[in-house]
Amino acid sequence: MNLSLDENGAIPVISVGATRIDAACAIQFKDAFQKTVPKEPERVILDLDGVEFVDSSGLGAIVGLMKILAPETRLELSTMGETVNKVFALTRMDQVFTIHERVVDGVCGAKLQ
Amino acid sequence: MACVAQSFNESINFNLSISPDPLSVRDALEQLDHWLAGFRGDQADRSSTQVVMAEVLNNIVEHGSLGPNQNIRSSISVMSNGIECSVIDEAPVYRALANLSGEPSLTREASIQLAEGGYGVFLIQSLAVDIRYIEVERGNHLEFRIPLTTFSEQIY
Repeated sequence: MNLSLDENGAIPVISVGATRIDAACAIQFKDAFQKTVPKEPERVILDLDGVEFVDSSGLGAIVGLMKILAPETRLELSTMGETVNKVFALTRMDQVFTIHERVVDGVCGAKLQ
Repeated sequence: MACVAQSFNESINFNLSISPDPLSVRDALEQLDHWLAGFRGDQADRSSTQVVMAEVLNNIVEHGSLGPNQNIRSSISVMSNGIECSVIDEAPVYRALANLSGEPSLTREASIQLAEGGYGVFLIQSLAVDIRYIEVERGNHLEFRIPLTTFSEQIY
């Protein structure tokens, strides 16, 4: 799975080059993220723009990454579509993660919730 | 990998035969979503159906011990009271689907503990109603319904 890292702003931003994080790719996503994330930044934003679907395997992978990165690094999320937002809301993960409406909001420190 | 749509468009029934692997499940879900989009209902109905079907199908693929030639068969119908789904598999000893008809069980404490699994059943129970498991002679049959949003009820 293709992930891209943008370190030009104040906070590293990792974008997902796929429309789905699901059971078919959750392990690859988790591995690719760990290879892409810089060493111990205070915060990192996972930009989900373009990700149309996340199932429970994808959700588990994102939760797993949050746990792996903590406590040195806080994983934050950005730009969630309707279906992805539904999965996070139903499982109450929207109360666990800091979720930004747009990447720029996260970089500027604003919080959606 | 194989996912075969057996009927398409102009029909209120959509039938799928899905090989028991995650990529075939993904392919099936994308075909299903495309078919549901043709009804011009609420996007929320499509997303709920896709989420529940993903969890049901992946659960069977992961835990059902199906052989490579034992496909999962699914039929989806758009009705006035919701999107009715039926999933049949030939898994020999799989009984986990029988326990889906209870109330959603994820607690706030569980989510705060940040479990990396166990959300699938919760998502199914949160979005689907009338969940019914039937043990058939050679496998398992699960039926459920995704209720429509008010917007879609006015269309269908």
